[in-house]
Amino acid sequence: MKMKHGNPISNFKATISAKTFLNAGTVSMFLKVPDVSFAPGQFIMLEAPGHTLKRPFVICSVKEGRLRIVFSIRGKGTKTLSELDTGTELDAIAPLGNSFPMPAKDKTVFLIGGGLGTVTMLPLAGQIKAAGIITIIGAKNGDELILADEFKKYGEVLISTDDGSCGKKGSSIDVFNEAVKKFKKNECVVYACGPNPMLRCLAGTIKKTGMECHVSMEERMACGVGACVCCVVKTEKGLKRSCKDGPVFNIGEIIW
Amino acid sequence: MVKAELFGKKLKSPLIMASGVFGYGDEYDFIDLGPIAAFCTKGLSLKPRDGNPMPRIWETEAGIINSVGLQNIGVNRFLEEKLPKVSGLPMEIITNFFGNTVEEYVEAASILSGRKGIFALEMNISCPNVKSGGISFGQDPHTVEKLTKAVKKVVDKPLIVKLTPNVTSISDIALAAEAGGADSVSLINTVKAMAIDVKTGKPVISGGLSGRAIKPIALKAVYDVSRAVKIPVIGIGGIYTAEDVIEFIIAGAKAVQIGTAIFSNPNVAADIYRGLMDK
Ligand SMILES: Cc1cc2nc3c(=O)[nH]c(=O)nc-3n(C[C@H](O)[C@H](O)[C@H](O)COP(=O)(O)OP(=O)(O)OC[C@H]3O[C@@H](n4cnc5c(N)ncnc54)[C@H](O)[C@@H]3O)c2cc1C
Ligand SMILES: Cc1cc2nc3c(=O)[nH]c(=O)nc-3n(C[C@H](O)[C@H](O)[C@H](O)COP(=O)(O)O)c2cc1C
Ligand code: FES
Repeated sequence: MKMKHGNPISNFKATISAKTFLNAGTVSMFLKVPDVSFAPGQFIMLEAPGHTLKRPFVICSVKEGRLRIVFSIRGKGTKTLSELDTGTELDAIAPLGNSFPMPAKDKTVFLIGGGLGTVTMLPLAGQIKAAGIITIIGAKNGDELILADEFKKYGEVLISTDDGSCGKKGSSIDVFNEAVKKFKKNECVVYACGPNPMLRCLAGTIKKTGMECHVSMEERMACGVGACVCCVVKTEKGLKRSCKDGPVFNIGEIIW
Repeated sequence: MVKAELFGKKLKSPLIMASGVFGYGDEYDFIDLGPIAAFCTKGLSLKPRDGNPMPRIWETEAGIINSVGLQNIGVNRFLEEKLPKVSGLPMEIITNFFGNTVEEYVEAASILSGRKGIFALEMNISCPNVKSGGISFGQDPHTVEKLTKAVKKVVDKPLIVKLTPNVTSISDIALAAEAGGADSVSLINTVKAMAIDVKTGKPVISGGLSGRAIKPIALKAVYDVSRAVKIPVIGIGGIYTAEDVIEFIIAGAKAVQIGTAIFSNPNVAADIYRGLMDK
Protein backbone atom coordinates (compact mmCIF):
# COMPACT_ATOMS: atom_id res chain seq x y z
CA MET A 1 0.00 0.00 0.00
CA LYS A 2 1.32 3.42 -0.93
CA MET A 3 1.22 6.33 1.44
CA LYS A 4 -1.11 9.18 0.77
CA HIS A 5 0.55 11.88 -1.32
CA GLY A 6 1.10 15.49 -0.34
CA ASN A 7 -1.09 18.22 -1.75
CA PRO A 8 -1.92 18.16 -5.48
CA ILE A 9 0.70 18.94 -8.12
CA SER A 10 1.22 22.58 -8.87
CA ASN A 11 3.37 24.72 -11.10
CA PHE A 12 4.98 27.65 -9.29
CA LYS A 13 7.97 29.97 -8.98
CA ALA A 14 10.61 28.92 -6.47
CA THR A 15 13.16 31.48 -5.29
CA ILE A 16 16.62 30.41 -4.17
CA SER A 17 16.92 31.56 -0.56
CA ALA A 18 20.14 29.82 0.47
CA LYS A 19 22.86 27.77 -1.14
CA THR A 20 25.77 25.94 0.49
CA PHE A 21 28.34 23.54 -0.89
CA LEU A 22 28.53 20.29 1.14
CA ASN A 23 31.69 19.46 -0.80
CA ALA A 24 33.23 20.64 -4.08
CA GLY A 25 30.54 18.93 -6.14
CA THR A 26 27.45 18.86 -3.93
CA VAL A 27 25.03 21.67 -3.21
CA SER A 28 22.41 22.01 -0.52
CA MET A 29 19.81 24.53 -1.68
CA PHE A 30 16.78 26.08 -0.02
CA LEU A 31 13.97 27.38 -2.20
CA LYS A 32 11.21 29.70 -1.10
CA VAL A 33 8.00 28.06 -2.29
CA PRO A 34 4.26 28.54 -1.91
CA ASP A 35 2.38 25.99 0.19
CA VAL A 36 3.84 22.61 -0.80
CA SER A 37 3.47 19.48 1.29
CA PHE A 38 5.10 16.19 0.39
CA ALA A 39 5.70 12.60 1.45
CA PRO A 40 9.18 11.00 1.48
CA GLY A 41 10.13 9.82 -2.00
CA GLN A 42 8.34 12.60 -3.87
CA PHE A 43 10.32 15.00 -6.04
CA ILE A 44 10.37 18.43 -7.65
CA MET A 45 11.07 19.27 -11.31
CA LEU A 46 13.19 22.40 -11.31
CA GLU A 47 14.10 24.72 -14.16
CA ALA A 48 17.78 24.81 -15.07
CA PRO A 49 17.99 28.20 -16.82
CA GLY A 50 18.95 27.94 -20.49
CA HIS A 51 18.06 24.26 -20.72
CA THR A 52 15.04 22.68 -22.43
CA LEU A 53 14.20 20.18 -19.69
CA LYS A 54 13.58 20.61 -16.00
CA ARG A 55 15.72 18.53 -13.62
CA PRO A 56 14.20 16.12 -11.08
CA PHE A 57 15.37 16.34 -7.44
CA VAL A 58 14.10 14.62 -4.35
CA ILE A 59 12.34 16.89 -1.85
CA CYS A 60 14.42 16.63 1.33
CA SER A 61 12.21 18.74 3.54
CA VAL A 62 9.73 21.60 3.51
CA LYS A 63 9.75 23.85 6.54
CA GLU A 64 8.20 27.29 6.89
CA GLY A 65 7.80 27.68 3.14
CA ARG A 66 11.38 26.64 2.40
CA LEU A 67 11.95 23.51 0.36
CA ARG A 68 15.33 21.84 0.51
CA ILE A 69 17.12 19.93 -2.23
CA VAL A 70 20.63 18.46 -2.21
CA PHE A 71 22.24 17.80 -5.55
CA SER A 72 25.49 16.72 -7.10
CA ILE A 73 26.94 18.57 -10.06
CA ARG A 74 26.70 16.03 -12.85
CA GLY A 75 26.27 17.74 -16.20
CA LYS A 76 25.34 21.10 -17.66
CA GLY A 77 22.07 21.71 -15.87
CA THR A 78 23.23 20.99 -12.35
CA LYS A 79 26.37 23.07 -13.07
CA THR A 80 24.16 26.01 -14.05
CA LEU A 81 21.99 25.54 -10.95
CA SER A 82 25.04 25.43 -8.68
CA GLU A 83 26.20 28.81 -10.01
CA LEU A 84 22.93 30.71 -9.47
CA ASP A 85 22.70 33.45 -6.86
CA THR A 86 20.20 33.57 -4.05
CA GLY A 87 17.13 35.48 -5.15
CA THR A 88 17.00 33.75 -8.54
CA GLU A 89 13.47 32.69 -9.47
CA LEU A 90 13.01 29.26 -11.03
CA ASP A 91 9.99 27.57 -12.56
CA ALA A 92 9.07 24.42 -10.66
CA ILE A 93 6.51 21.61 -10.49
CA ALA A 94 5.89 19.68 -7.26
CA PRO A 95 5.15 17.47 -5.45
CA LEU A 96 5.58 14.70 -8.01
CA GLY A 97 5.48 10.93 -8.00
CA ASN A 98 4.39 8.43 -5.40
CA SER A 99 6.11 7.96 -2.06
CA PHE A 100 7.63 5.31 0.19
CA PRO A 101 5.15 3.19 2.16
CA MET A 102 5.88 3.72 5.86
CA PRO A 103 7.07 0.75 7.94
CA ALA A 104 5.27 -0.68 10.99
CA LYS A 105 6.60 0.92 14.19
CA ASP A 106 8.19 -2.29 15.49
CA LYS A 107 10.47 -2.80 12.47
CA THR A 108 14.12 -2.01 12.07
CA VAL A 109 14.65 0.06 8.99
CA PHE A 110 17.61 -0.10 6.62
CA LEU A 111 18.19 2.95 4.45
CA ILE A 112 20.69 2.26 1.66
CA GLY A 113 21.91 5.17 -0.44
CA GLY A 114 24.39 4.89 -3.27
CA GLY A 115 25.97 8.12 -4.56
CA LEU A 116 23.37 10.85 -5.00
CA GLY A 117 20.68 8.27 -4.17
CA THR A 118 21.67 8.94 -0.56
CA VAL A 119 19.68 12.18 -0.75
CA THR A 120 16.49 10.20 -1.33
CA MET A 121 16.91 8.50 2.04
CA LEU A 122 17.07 11.81 3.94
CA PRO A 123 13.35 12.67 4.10
CA LEU A 124 12.62 9.06 5.03
CA ALA A 125 15.06 9.17 7.94
CA GLY A 126 13.36 12.32 9.18
CA GLN A 127 9.81 10.98 9.06
CA ILE A 128 10.09 7.28 9.87
CA LYS A 129 8.96 6.02 13.27
CA ALA A 130 10.55 2.62 13.77
CA ALA A 131 12.38 0.41 16.27
CA GLY A 132 15.67 1.55 14.77
CA ILE A 133 17.19 3.11 11.67
CA ILE A 134 20.43 1.84 10.15
CA THR A 135 21.70 3.97 7.27
CA ILE A 136 24.21 2.60 4.81
CA ILE A 137 25.91 5.14 2.57
CA GLY A 138 27.97 4.14 -0.42
CA ALA A 139 30.26 6.50 -2.31
CA LYS A 140 33.13 6.35 -4.79
CA ASN A 141 35.54 7.79 -2.24
CA GLY A 142 35.66 9.79 0.98
CA ASP A 143 35.53 13.12 -0.86
CA GLU A 144 32.22 12.25 -2.53
CA LEU A 145 30.63 10.94 0.64
CA ILE A 146 27.66 13.13 1.56
CA LEU A 147 25.20 13.61 4.39
CA ALA A 148 26.73 11.09 6.83
CA ASP A 149 26.49 13.56 9.75
CA GLU A 150 22.84 14.34 9.04
CA PHE A 151 21.91 10.67 9.16
CA LYS A 152 23.70 10.16 12.49
CA LYS A 153 20.86 12.09 14.17
CA TYR A 154 18.54 9.21 13.33
CA GLY A 155 20.61 6.14 14.20
CA GLU A 156 23.58 4.09 13.22
CA VAL A 157 25.44 5.01 10.01
CA LEU A 158 27.59 2.52 8.08
CA ILE A 159 29.82 3.69 5.26
CA SER A 160 31.36 2.01 2.26
CA THR A 161 33.58 3.46 -0.45
CA ASP A 162 34.78 1.90 -3.69
CA ASP A 163 38.41 2.73 -2.89
CA GLY A 164 38.27 2.17 0.88
CA SER A 165 39.21 5.80 1.62
CA CYS A 166 36.35 5.96 4.13
CA GLY A 167 34.44 3.19 5.94
CA LYS A 168 34.51 -0.32 4.45
CA LYS A 169 36.05 -0.87 1.05
CA GLY A 170 33.46 -2.31 -1.29
CA SER A 171 29.82 -1.80 -2.08
CA SER A 172 26.99 -0.65 0.13
CA ILE A 173 25.20 -3.92 -0.63
CA ASP A 174 28.12 -5.95 0.83
CA VAL A 175 27.81 -3.87 3.99
CA PHE A 176 24.06 -4.42 4.02
CA ASN A 177 24.39 -8.17 3.55
CA GLU A 178 26.66 -8.31 6.57
CA ALA A 179 24.57 -6.03 8.80
CA VAL A 180 21.25 -7.69 8.03
CA LYS A 181 22.45 -11.10 9.24
CA LYS A 182 21.48 -10.19 12.80
CA PHE A 183 17.81 -9.87 11.85
CA LYS A 184 14.97 -12.18 10.91
CA LYS A 185 13.28 -11.29 7.64
CA ASN A 186 10.07 -10.06 9.31
CA GLU A 187 11.93 -7.74 11.63
CA CYS A 188 13.12 -5.26 9.03
CA VAL A 189 12.12 -3.15 6.04
CA VAL A 190 14.65 -2.03 3.47
CA TYR A 191 14.63 1.23 1.48
CA ALA A 192 17.18 1.99 -1.21
CA CYS A 193 18.12 4.42 -3.94
CA GLY A 194 21.21 4.45 -6.11
CA PRO A 195 22.64 3.46 -9.47
CA ASN A 196 20.86 0.60 -11.26
CA PRO A 197 23.71 -1.95 -10.83
CA MET A 198 23.57 -1.41 -7.06
CA LEU A 199 19.80 -1.89 -6.95
CA ARG A 200 20.02 -4.93 -9.19
CA CYS A 201 22.53 -6.45 -6.78
CA LEU A 202 20.22 -5.65 -3.86
CA ALA A 203 17.33 -7.29 -5.71
CA GLY A 204 19.32 -10.54 -5.70
CA THR A 205 19.76 -10.45 -1.92
CA ILE A 206 16.13 -9.54 -1.29
CA LYS A 207 14.90 -12.33 -3.51
CA LYS A 208 16.80 -14.82 -1.36
CA THR A 209 15.67 -13.44 1.99
CA GLY A 210 12.12 -12.36 1.08
CA MET A 211 12.39 -9.09 3.00
CA GLU A 212 10.14 -6.10 2.35
CA CYS A 213 12.08 -3.66 0.15
CA HIS A 214 11.18 -0.45 -1.65
CA VAL A 215 13.46 1.31 -4.11
CA SER A 216 13.39 4.66 -5.86
CA MET A 217 14.36 4.53 -9.55
CA GLU A 218 16.28 7.22 -11.41
CA GLU A 219 15.25 7.66 -15.02
CA ARG A 220 15.60 10.57 -17.41
CA MET A 221 12.42 12.63 -17.42
CA ALA A 222 10.81 15.20 -19.66
CA CYS A 223 7.34 16.09 -18.34
CA GLY A 224 7.59 14.65 -14.82
CA VAL A 225 3.81 14.26 -14.63
CA GLY A 226 3.06 11.07 -16.56
CA ALA A 227 2.23 12.52 -19.98
CA CYS A 228 5.18 11.69 -22.25
CA VAL A 229 6.19 8.10 -21.30
CA CYS A 230 9.88 9.01 -21.55
CA CYS A 231 10.74 7.59 -18.11
CA VAL A 232 9.37 4.06 -18.11
CA VAL A 233 10.59 1.15 -15.99
CA LYS A 234 9.98 -2.50 -16.89
CA THR A 235 7.90 -4.21 -14.22
CA GLU A 236 6.00 -7.45 -13.87
CA LYS A 237 2.82 -5.48 -14.51
CA GLY A 238 4.19 -3.97 -17.73
CA LEU A 239 5.86 -0.63 -18.37
CA LYS A 240 5.41 1.90 -15.56
CA ARG A 241 6.16 5.62 -15.67
CA SER A 242 8.75 6.32 -13.00
CA CYS A 243 7.55 9.93 -12.60
CA LYS A 244 3.92 9.04 -11.96
CA ASP A 245 3.54 5.34 -11.07
CA GLY A 246 6.96 5.61 -9.33
CA PRO A 247 9.68 6.63 -8.63
CA VAL A 248 9.13 4.21 -5.72
CA PHE A 249 8.60 0.55 -6.59
CA ASN A 250 8.59 -2.68 -4.67
CA ILE A 251 11.95 -4.16 -5.63
CA GLY A 252 10.32 -7.49 -6.54
CA GLU A 253 8.21 -5.81 -9.24
CA ILE A 254 11.15 -4.56 -11.29
CA ILE A 255 12.43 -6.56 -14.24
CA TRP A 256 16.18 -5.82 -14.41
CA MET B 1 -4.97 36.92 -33.13
CA VAL B 2 -6.72 34.92 -30.44
CA LYS B 3 -9.65 33.68 -32.50
CA ALA B 4 -9.47 30.72 -34.79
CA GLU B 5 -11.73 28.46 -36.76
CA LEU B 6 -11.20 24.93 -38.03
CA PHE B 7 -13.63 22.77 -40.01
CA GLY B 8 -16.42 25.32 -39.61
CA LYS B 9 -16.12 25.37 -35.84
CA LYS B 10 -15.12 28.48 -33.90
CA LEU B 11 -12.26 27.76 -31.50
CA LYS B 12 -11.48 29.79 -28.41
CA SER B 13 -7.86 30.18 -29.51
CA PRO B 14 -5.46 28.93 -32.18
CA LEU B 15 -3.59 26.92 -29.53
CA ILE B 16 -3.57 23.11 -29.66
CA MET B 17 -1.40 20.83 -27.53
CA ALA B 18 0.69 18.54 -29.76
CA SER B 19 0.64 14.76 -29.78
CA GLY B 20 2.98 12.96 -27.39
CA VAL B 21 3.53 15.70 -24.83
CA PHE B 22 0.00 15.77 -23.38
CA GLY B 23 -0.66 12.05 -22.81
CA TYR B 24 -4.35 11.29 -23.18
CA GLY B 25 -5.37 14.64 -21.72
CA ASP B 26 -5.79 13.57 -18.10
CA GLU B 27 -2.34 14.33 -16.66
CA TYR B 28 -2.27 18.12 -16.84
CA ASP B 29 -5.19 18.67 -14.47
CA PHE B 30 -3.18 21.29 -12.56
CA ILE B 31 -2.75 23.83 -15.36
CA ASP B 32 -5.03 26.49 -16.81
CA LEU B 33 -6.81 24.60 -19.60
CA GLY B 34 -9.01 27.60 -20.42
CA PRO B 35 -7.02 29.01 -23.35
CA ILE B 36 -6.31 25.62 -24.95
CA ALA B 37 -8.58 25.08 -27.95
CA ALA B 38 -7.80 21.39 -28.37
CA PHE B 39 -5.28 18.70 -27.53
CA CYS B 40 -3.93 15.82 -29.61
CA THR B 41 -3.72 12.46 -27.89
CA LYS B 42 -0.54 10.41 -27.85
CA GLY B 43 -0.38 8.46 -31.14
CA LEU B 44 -2.84 5.55 -30.95
CA SER B 45 -2.46 2.25 -32.76
CA LEU B 46 -4.87 -0.63 -33.28
CA LYS B 47 -3.10 -2.70 -30.59
CA PRO B 48 -1.24 -1.35 -27.54
CA ARG B 49 2.52 -0.88 -28.09
CA ASP B 50 5.49 -0.95 -25.72
CA GLY B 51 7.75 1.38 -27.65
CA ASN B 52 11.54 1.67 -27.48
CA PRO B 53 14.05 0.86 -24.73
CA MET B 54 15.59 3.59 -22.56
CA PRO B 55 16.93 6.20 -22.90
CA ARG B 56 13.98 7.75 -24.66
CA ILE B 57 14.92 11.36 -24.22
CA TRP B 58 18.11 13.36 -24.74
CA GLU B 59 18.65 17.06 -24.27
CA THR B 60 20.54 18.86 -27.03
CA GLU B 61 21.80 22.44 -27.37
CA ALA B 62 18.42 23.83 -28.38
CA GLY B 63 15.90 21.06 -28.09
CA ILE B 64 15.41 17.40 -27.32
CA ILE B 65 15.68 14.13 -29.18
CA ASN B 66 13.01 11.58 -28.30
CA SER B 67 12.74 7.93 -29.18
CA VAL B 68 9.60 6.97 -27.28
CA GLY B 69 8.76 4.66 -30.16
CA LEU B 70 5.03 5.35 -30.07
CA GLN B 71 4.28 3.51 -26.83
CA ASN B 72 0.50 3.75 -26.37
CA ILE B 73 -2.50 2.01 -24.86
CA GLY B 74 -4.21 1.31 -28.20
CA VAL B 75 -7.44 2.75 -29.62
CA ASN B 76 -9.80 0.50 -27.66
CA ARG B 77 -8.41 1.19 -24.21
CA PHE B 78 -8.32 4.90 -25.07
CA LEU B 79 -12.01 4.86 -25.90
CA GLU B 80 -12.97 2.80 -22.84
CA GLU B 81 -10.72 4.28 -20.14
CA LYS B 82 -9.60 7.72 -21.21
CA LEU B 83 -12.22 9.28 -23.47
CA PRO B 84 -14.98 9.30 -20.80
CA LYS B 85 -12.52 10.96 -18.38
CA VAL B 86 -11.41 13.73 -20.75
CA SER B 87 -14.69 14.37 -22.57
CA GLY B 88 -15.76 16.84 -19.93
CA LEU B 89 -12.61 18.99 -20.21
CA PRO B 90 -12.96 22.43 -21.81
CA MET B 91 -10.91 21.46 -24.89
CA GLU B 92 -11.67 19.71 -28.15
CA ILE B 93 -10.14 16.24 -28.50
CA ILE B 94 -8.08 15.33 -31.54
CA THR B 95 -7.13 11.65 -31.68
CA ASN B 96 -3.70 11.15 -33.21
CA PHE B 97 -3.28 7.67 -34.71
CA PHE B 98 -0.91 5.58 -36.80
CA GLY B 99 -0.30 2.12 -38.19
CA ASN B 100 2.33 0.02 -39.86
CA THR B 101 0.11 -1.05 -42.77
CA VAL B 102 -2.70 0.67 -44.66
CA GLU B 103 -5.10 -1.87 -43.13
CA GLU B 104 -3.99 -0.96 -39.61
CA TYR B 105 -4.49 2.74 -40.30
CA VAL B 106 -7.95 2.13 -41.75
CA GLU B 107 -9.05 -0.11 -38.90
CA ALA B 108 -7.80 2.24 -36.19
CA ALA B 109 -9.48 5.18 -37.93
CA SER B 110 -12.79 3.36 -38.29
CA ILE B 111 -12.81 2.48 -34.58
CA LEU B 112 -12.22 6.15 -33.67
CA SER B 113 -14.71 7.41 -36.22
CA GLY B 114 -18.27 8.00 -35.12
CA ARG B 115 -17.26 8.37 -31.47
CA LYS B 116 -18.97 11.23 -29.72
CA GLY B 117 -16.59 13.67 -28.13
CA ILE B 118 -13.86 13.42 -30.75
CA PHE B 119 -13.42 16.63 -32.73
CA ALA B 120 -11.02 15.41 -35.42
CA LEU B 121 -8.55 12.69 -36.27
CA GLU B 122 -4.87 13.43 -36.84
CA MET B 123 -3.04 10.84 -38.91
CA ASN B 124 0.68 10.47 -38.18
CA ILE B 125 2.32 9.32 -41.40
CA SER B 126 5.90 9.37 -40.10
CA CYS B 127 5.77 5.63 -39.35
CA PRO B 128 7.60 2.90 -41.22
CA ASN B 129 5.51 1.03 -43.78
CA VAL B 130 6.37 -2.59 -43.05
CA LYS B 131 5.19 -3.68 -46.49
CA SER B 132 7.64 -1.44 -48.30
CA GLY B 133 10.77 -2.21 -46.35
CA GLY B 134 10.22 0.26 -43.55
CA ILE B 135 10.28 3.52 -45.55
CA SER B 136 7.87 5.85 -43.82
CA PHE B 137 4.41 6.31 -45.36
CA GLY B 138 4.91 10.05 -45.32
CA GLN B 139 7.91 9.98 -47.67
CA ASP B 140 6.12 9.02 -50.85
CA PRO B 141 3.37 11.22 -52.34
CA HIS B 142 1.67 8.31 -54.08
CA THR B 143 1.44 6.29 -50.83
CA VAL B 144 0.19 9.34 -48.93
CA GLU B 145 -2.62 9.93 -51.41
CA LYS B 146 -3.68 6.27 -51.36
CA LEU B 147 -3.53 6.04 -47.57
CA THR B 148 -5.46 9.28 -47.09
CA LYS B 149 -8.16 8.13 -49.52
CA ALA B 150 -8.50 4.75 -47.79
CA VAL B 151 -8.79 6.34 -44.35
CA LYS B 152 -11.09 9.13 -45.51
CA LYS B 153 -13.55 6.50 -46.74
CA VAL B 154 -14.12 5.17 -43.22
CA VAL B 155 -14.14 8.38 -41.17
CA ASP B 156 -16.96 10.84 -40.73
CA LYS B 157 -14.84 13.42 -38.92
CA PRO B 158 -12.33 15.97 -40.15
CA LEU B 159 -9.05 14.26 -41.02
CA ILE B 160 -5.78 16.08 -40.39
CA VAL B 161 -2.72 14.52 -42.00
CA LYS B 162 0.43 15.17 -39.96
CA LEU B 163 3.49 15.56 -42.15
CA THR B 164 7.08 14.57 -41.57
CA PRO B 165 9.81 17.09 -42.48
CA ASN B 166 12.15 14.23 -43.40
CA VAL B 167 11.32 14.49 -47.12
CA THR B 168 12.65 16.23 -50.21
CA SER B 169 9.54 18.30 -50.92
CA ILE B 170 7.01 18.63 -48.12
CA SER B 171 4.68 20.60 -50.43
CA ASP B 172 4.37 17.58 -52.74
CA ILE B 173 3.38 15.42 -49.77
CA ALA B 174 0.85 18.03 -48.63
CA LEU B 175 -0.64 18.17 -52.14
CA ALA B 176 -0.94 14.37 -52.12
CA ALA B 177 -2.76 14.46 -48.77
CA GLU B 178 -5.11 17.13 -50.14
CA ALA B 179 -5.73 15.08 -53.28
CA GLY B 180 -6.53 12.09 -51.06
CA GLY B 181 -9.23 14.13 -49.32
CA ALA B 182 -7.47 15.43 -46.19
CA ASP B 183 -9.36 18.24 -44.45
CA SER B 184 -6.15 19.76 -43.11
CA VAL B 185 -2.42 19.15 -42.80
CA SER B 186 -0.38 19.66 -39.64
CA LEU B 187 3.38 20.12 -39.74
CA ILE B 188 6.06 19.45 -38.78
CA ASN B 189 6.65 16.22 -36.93
CA THR B 190 10.12 15.73 -35.41
CA VAL B 191 13.32 15.97 -37.46
CA LYS B 192 15.52 12.85 -37.61
CA ALA B 193 18.44 13.24 -35.25
CA MET B 194 21.09 11.50 -33.15
CA ALA B 195 23.35 12.14 -30.17
CA ILE B 196 26.77 10.59 -29.61
CA ASP B 197 28.56 9.98 -26.34
CA VAL B 198 32.27 10.73 -26.80
CA LYS B 199 33.15 8.69 -23.72
CA THR B 200 31.78 5.44 -25.14
CA GLY B 201 32.23 6.45 -28.77
CA LYS B 202 28.69 5.28 -29.50
CA PRO B 203 25.34 6.84 -30.33
CA VAL B 204 23.24 7.20 -27.18
CA ILE B 205 19.97 7.94 -28.93
CA SER B 206 18.56 8.01 -32.42
CA GLY B 207 15.15 9.60 -32.76
CA GLY B 208 13.34 12.84 -33.52
CA LEU B 209 14.43 16.38 -32.69
CA SER B 210 11.91 18.91 -31.40
CA GLY B 211 11.90 22.24 -29.62
CA ARG B 212 13.48 25.61 -30.40
CA ALA B 213 16.03 24.11 -32.79
CA ILE B 214 13.37 23.16 -35.34
CA LYS B 215 11.32 26.37 -35.43
CA PRO B 216 12.99 27.86 -38.52
CA ILE B 217 12.65 24.51 -40.33
CA ALA B 218 8.96 24.38 -39.40
CA LEU B 219 8.32 27.99 -40.45
CA LYS B 220 9.75 27.37 -43.90
CA ALA B 221 7.70 24.19 -44.28
CA VAL B 222 4.49 25.94 -43.19
CA TYR B 223 5.20 28.87 -45.52
CA ASP B 224 5.73 26.59 -48.51
CA VAL B 225 2.83 24.23 -47.81
CA SER B 226 0.39 27.11 -47.15
CA ARG B 227 1.09 28.38 -50.64
CA ALA B 228 0.69 24.93 -52.20
CA VAL B 229 -2.62 23.70 -50.72
CA LYS B 230 -6.07 25.16 -50.12
CA ILE B 231 -6.89 23.19 -46.97
CA PRO B 232 -6.01 24.74 -43.61
CA VAL B 233 -2.45 24.30 -42.37
CA ILE B 234 -1.67 23.74 -38.69
CA GLY B 235 1.84 24.89 -37.74
CA ILE B 236 4.01 22.90 -35.30
CA GLY B 237 7.63 23.16 -34.23
CA GLY B 238 9.46 24.98 -31.47
CA ILE B 239 6.62 27.28 -30.46
CA TYR B 240 7.30 28.88 -27.06
CA THR B 241 5.89 32.42 -27.22
CA ALA B 242 3.07 34.56 -28.63
CA GLU B 243 5.64 36.00 -31.03
CA ASP B 244 6.35 32.47 -32.34
CA VAL B 245 2.62 31.90 -32.90
CA ILE B 246 2.32 35.13 -34.86
CA GLU B 247 5.25 34.13 -37.05
CA PHE B 248 3.50 30.85 -37.90
CA ILE B 249 0.24 32.67 -38.63
CA ILE B 250 2.07 35.05 -40.93
CA ALA B 251 3.65 32.02 -42.63
CA GLY B 252 0.12 30.77 -43.34
CA ALA B 253 -0.98 28.63 -40.38
CA LYS B 254 -4.63 28.72 -39.31
CA ALA B 255 -3.81 27.22 -35.91
CA VAL B 256 -0.70 25.97 -34.13
CA GLN B 257 0.38 23.12 -31.90
CA ILE B 258 2.63 23.39 -28.88
CA GLY B 259 4.84 20.44 -27.98
CA THR B 260 8.22 20.52 -26.26
CA ALA B 261 7.60 23.95 -24.69
CA ILE B 262 5.22 22.36 -22.18
CA PHE B 263 8.21 20.57 -20.61
CA SER B 264 9.74 23.85 -19.51
CA ASN B 265 6.43 25.56 -18.74
CA PRO B 266 3.27 23.53 -18.13
CA ASN B 267 1.23 26.74 -18.44
CA VAL B 268 2.84 27.75 -21.73
CA ALA B 269 -0.51 27.86 -23.57
CA ALA B 270 -2.04 30.22 -21.02
CA ASP B 271 1.06 32.43 -21.12
CA ILE B 272 1.02 32.53 -24.93
CA TYR B 273 -2.69 33.34 -24.89
CA ARG B 274 -2.09 36.30 -22.62
CA GLY B 275 0.71 37.39 -24.95
CA LEU B 276 -1.62 37.20 -27.96
CA MET B 277 -4.26 39.29 -26.19
CA ASP B 278 -1.67 42.03 -25.70
CA LYS B 279 -0.63 42.11 -29.36
C1 LIG C 1 13.11 11.13 -9.17
C2 LIG C 1 14.54 11.60 -9.21
C3 LIG C 1 15.07 12.24 -8.10
C4 LIG C 1 16.39 12.69 -8.11
N1 LIG C 1 16.89 13.30 -7.01
C5 LIG C 1 18.15 13.75 -6.99
C6 LIG C 1 18.66 14.42 -5.85
O1 LIG C 1 17.96 14.61 -4.86
N2 LIG C 1 19.94 14.85 -5.89
C7 LIG C 1 20.74 14.66 -6.99
O2 LIG C 1 21.90 15.07 -6.97
N3 LIG C 1 20.26 14.05 -8.08
C8 LIG C 1 19.00 13.58 -8.12
N4 LIG C 1 18.51 12.97 -9.24
C9 LIG C 1 19.39 12.88 -10.41
C10 LIG C 1 19.38 14.25 -11.12
O3 LIG C 1 18.09 14.52 -11.63
C11 LIG C 1 20.41 14.28 -12.27
O4 LIG C 1 21.69 14.17 -11.73
C12 LIG C 1 20.31 15.57 -13.06
O5 LIG C 1 19.09 15.65 -13.74
C13 LIG C 1 21.46 15.71 -14.04
O6 LIG C 1 21.28 16.90 -14.74
P1 LIG C 1 22.49 17.64 -15.46
O7 LIG C 1 21.95 18.79 -16.18
O8 LIG C 1 23.56 17.90 -14.51
O9 LIG C 1 23.03 16.52 -16.45
P2 LIG C 1 22.96 16.48 -18.03
O10 LIG C 1 23.65 15.25 -18.42
O11 LIG C 1 23.38 17.77 -18.65
O12 LIG C 1 21.40 16.31 -18.25
C14 LIG C 1 20.82 16.04 -19.48
C15 LIG C 1 19.44 15.45 -19.28
O13 LIG C 1 19.55 14.14 -18.73
C16 LIG C 1 18.92 14.04 -17.47
N5 LIG C 1 19.75 13.23 -16.57
C17 LIG C 1 21.10 13.12 -16.58
N6 LIG C 1 21.50 12.29 -15.59
C18 LIG C 1 20.39 11.86 -14.95
C19 LIG C 1 20.14 10.99 -13.85
N7 LIG C 1 21.12 10.39 -13.18
N8 LIG C 1 18.85 10.80 -13.46
C20 LIG C 1 17.84 11.40 -14.10
N9 LIG C 1 18.02 12.24 -15.15
C21 LIG C 1 19.26 12.47 -15.56
C22 LIG C 1 18.77 15.47 -17.01
O14 LIG C 1 17.69 15.64 -16.12
C23 LIG C 1 18.56 16.21 -18.31
O15 LIG C 1 17.23 16.07 -18.74
C24 LIG C 1 17.21 12.50 -9.26
C25 LIG C 1 16.67 11.87 -10.39
C26 LIG C 1 15.35 11.42 -10.37
C27 LIG C 1 14.79 10.76 -11.58
C1 LIG D 1 8.15 13.11 -26.35
C2 LIG D 1 7.45 13.35 -27.66
C3 LIG D 1 6.53 12.43 -28.14
C4 LIG D 1 5.88 12.63 -29.35
N1 LIG D 1 4.96 11.72 -29.77
C5 LIG D 1 4.29 11.93 -30.93
C6 LIG D 1 3.26 11.02 -31.37
O1 LIG D 1 2.94 10.03 -30.68
N2 LIG D 1 2.64 11.27 -32.55
C7 LIG D 1 2.94 12.36 -33.32
O2 LIG D 1 2.34 12.55 -34.36
N3 LIG D 1 3.89 13.25 -32.92
C8 LIG D 1 4.56 13.05 -31.75
N4 LIG D 1 5.52 13.98 -31.35
C9 LIG D 1 5.83 15.14 -32.20
C10 LIG D 1 5.13 16.40 -31.69
O3 LIG D 1 3.73 16.26 -31.71
C11 LIG D 1 5.54 17.63 -32.55
O4 LIG D 1 5.16 17.43 -33.89
C12 LIG D 1 7.04 17.90 -32.50
O5 LIG D 1 7.54 17.67 -31.22
C13 LIG D 1 7.41 19.32 -32.93
O6 LIG D 1 6.84 20.31 -32.08
P1 LIG D 1 7.61 20.99 -30.83
O7 LIG D 1 8.93 21.47 -31.34
O8 LIG D 1 6.71 22.06 -30.35
O9 LIG D 1 7.78 19.89 -29.84
C14 LIG D 1 6.18 13.78 -30.13
C15 LIG D 1 7.11 14.71 -29.63
C16 LIG D 1 7.75 14.52 -28.42
C17 LIG D 1 8.73 15.53 -27.94
S1 FES E 1 8.69 12.07 -17.60
FE1 FES E 1 6.95 12.18 -18.86
S2 FES E 1 5.93 10.37 -18.32
FE2 FES E 1 7.54 10.42 -16.90
